[in-house]
Amino acid sequence: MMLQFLVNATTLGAFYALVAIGFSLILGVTHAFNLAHGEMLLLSGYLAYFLGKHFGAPLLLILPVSMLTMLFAALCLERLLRRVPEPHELNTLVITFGLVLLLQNAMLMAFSANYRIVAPETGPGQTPSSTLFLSETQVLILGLSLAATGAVFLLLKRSFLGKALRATIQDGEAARLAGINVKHMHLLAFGLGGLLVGTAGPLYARTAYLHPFGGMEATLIAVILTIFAGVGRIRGLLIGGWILGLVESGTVLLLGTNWRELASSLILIALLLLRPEGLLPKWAKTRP
Amino acid sequence: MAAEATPPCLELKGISFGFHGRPLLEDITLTVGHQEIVSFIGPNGVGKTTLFNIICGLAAPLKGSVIYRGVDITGREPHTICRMGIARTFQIPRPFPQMTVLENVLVGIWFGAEEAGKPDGERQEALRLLDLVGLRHKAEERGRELTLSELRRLEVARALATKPRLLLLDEVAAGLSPQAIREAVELIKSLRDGGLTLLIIDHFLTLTCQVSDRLVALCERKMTAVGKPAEVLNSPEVMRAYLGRGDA
Amino acid sequence: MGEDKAMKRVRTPTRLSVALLSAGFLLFLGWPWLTARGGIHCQAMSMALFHGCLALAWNICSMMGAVSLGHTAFFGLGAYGSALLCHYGHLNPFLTIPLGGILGAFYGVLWHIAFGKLRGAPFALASLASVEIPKVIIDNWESFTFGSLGVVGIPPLSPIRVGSFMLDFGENPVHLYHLFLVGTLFLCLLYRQALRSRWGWAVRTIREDETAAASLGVNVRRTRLQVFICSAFLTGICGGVYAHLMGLVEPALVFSLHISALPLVLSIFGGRFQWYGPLLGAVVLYPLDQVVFRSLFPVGHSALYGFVVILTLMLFPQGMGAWLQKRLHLASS
Repeated sequence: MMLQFLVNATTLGAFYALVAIGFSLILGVTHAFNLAHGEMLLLSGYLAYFLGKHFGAPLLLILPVSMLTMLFAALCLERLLRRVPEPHELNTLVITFGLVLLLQNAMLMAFSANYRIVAPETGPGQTPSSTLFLSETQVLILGLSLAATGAVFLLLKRSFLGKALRATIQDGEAARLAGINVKHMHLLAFGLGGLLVGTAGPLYARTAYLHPFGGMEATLIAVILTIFAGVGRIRGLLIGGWILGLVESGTVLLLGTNWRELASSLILIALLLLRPEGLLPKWAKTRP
Repeated sequence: MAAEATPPCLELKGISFGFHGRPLLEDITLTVGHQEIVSFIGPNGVGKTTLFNIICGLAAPLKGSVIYRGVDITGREPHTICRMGIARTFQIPRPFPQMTVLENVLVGIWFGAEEAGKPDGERQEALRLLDLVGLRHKAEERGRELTLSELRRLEVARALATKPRLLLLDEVAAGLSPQAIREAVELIKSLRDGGLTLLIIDHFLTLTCQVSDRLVALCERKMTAVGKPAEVLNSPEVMRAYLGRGDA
Repeated sequence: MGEDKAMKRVRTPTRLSVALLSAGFLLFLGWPWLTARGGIHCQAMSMALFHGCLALAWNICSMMGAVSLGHTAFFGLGAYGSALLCHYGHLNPFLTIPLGGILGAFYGVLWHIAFGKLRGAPFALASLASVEIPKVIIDNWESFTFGSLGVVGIPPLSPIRVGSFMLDFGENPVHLYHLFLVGTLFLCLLYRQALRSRWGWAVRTIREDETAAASLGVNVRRTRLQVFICSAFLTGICGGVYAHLMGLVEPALVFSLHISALPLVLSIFGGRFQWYGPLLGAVVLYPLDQVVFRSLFPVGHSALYGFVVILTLMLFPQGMGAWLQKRLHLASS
């Protein structure tokens, strides 16, 4: 029982981290608050749902299609947000909030308010230990999330590009002076964000019911983890994801599903109050 | 009663300050008399502006207290301190960008001073202050449209609008022409003659030496020298700080 | 800048602006007779005025620079407060609605205490998250609030007798329309006077530079508290009115993202920095959505609001109000 709980929480946490990395990279590099992050996740979830349902496409095919679509969507978003007037953080927040309204209603129009889920192809697989359920979906989520997280981690830590990205996160102006093409870094951050959302979407469609208004919750989770870990800190995001997964699963276990949203909201408010510097390192410095 | 002679205008008692566990100021103690002009000099980042922030209530010291006219004002809110008669200018000017220059000054008159005058009188007063700093011709322009030196002058007018008894000037002369500096010297002297006490931060030794009664040199978290401008400038610590690190 | 001078000029009303204002007033007064009395256009305009009030209440915060994404918390608390008082106390709606507003204002005080240090984007996020607290509590406190089933059978606004004339707001949409018109005008004038008072200037200085405002003697903390209380109280009142209009409240209805979003969209579209901006946005955008878009796209017509917010911020971030004022100034000079 305890083991099962831990396995579920770990899977959830890894998935949360996968959702949060894209948001965090975009925020860190471009200082754009993408409140529509959850809606992008939903969109790619719906894409996976329809590809799977109507064309019977296997996950191996769905994933690249979804990733490429989201890459394209994210790059479009970058073009939109590039021109946002000052103050940048607040205005991108408001504009992407408008985008949330737009996408929510567009999805409502297109997909109706029905709840949808990609049914697992086979029944839950049973591991040798007879008390432990580990469904195929869970294995997929855990594996893919960790693989994607690891890939981004390696990219940031080991490659020259990653160094440039990290420099831009720490101080965009100084990075520009050091000869880094900050515009390219913005594109790269949005591109990576799009690819990650494209990976997460099909997985999301397998674990949760898709509903046009369900995206905000995912965005809030991304925000929570970003504040907790600080922008662009992959390991922190993963640990934060696990903690959040544990807390949420624990709340559900102890109090019931109805209180889960309250738990994440309270965590968000507490983090905003206690770790104001978690959002953007630069803000803490310029604050009087 | 007689024994309680009027307390000094400002007393700093053992002020210490630091961020993130790194000390910035240690044990700053200073007494400023009425109608005195005291200037602070020292390298960038030594904490001069932070000291002003502490006096104005924008930052709280870790230790020590600020006594203004015999009242302990440490940790009071900035607006209370302003209404008690301490006004300041900001090193990086902070105008209200969407308001006109006149409105910027009016805000100081409305909220800074204890007693409210007639609406007409307020406008006249604001225009008089703009005349004083030579900005009257810009009265109808917006704060965001001014140049840096105009903004500095606006800061002074706005601070004076709060009817202060102690005025803190943070780098008002930086970037001014020699002629403008001469005007600034005249203005500062006339303000003092009008009853103000002034604390000044400036790198322009020409300005500070001309107007200051005393100079305070800050170096490496501490006050290294206090005294008449000539004495302080010739003191070995200041020479070392300004002219090189020739070890004693 | 043209718009700056326009602002000065309009303070001393020009003939054109007076004429426009009176024409607008007469149009709104006679609206029910111009359209089919009590028909969809009249009802849409009633609700537009209602949302105008909601946007005005939201914009008080925005005037101070606090862009909130969580005003539906006040709205829902006002709605539930009034509904439950009616349900348990059998009081007159005109009494319970202000009490609901006070409940909203109480939450506004909590915002002030908890979010005192937050500004800009972190404040917006915190306000967004704060909605869940009352929502989840009401959702789960089934013995008192009826949980997710909601409170049903809330009485409509009670009729008022004026001499021999009966104003029946529950039955007659024209009377309701005029009630909203009077309420909106009153609120709008109050708002305008407040903004032109010293208090309004204090609010403005906080938006433009809080540190400078504090060091010029503006009591930032107290002004913020007052702003939150006013905004929350008025939003709570709107929520209370809504409960009696609908006859039912449920958590998903009155604590919805949509209700947080609408006043923001309407204010940004109409012009956040003009006193009439939110109202302008409401009477233009809301009927457009309800009458035109709703018939075209029965589901998801609210996408319009998202679209409008993006376009407005990208193309004219000051909003319609500033743009119109510029035109008006050019026309009258």
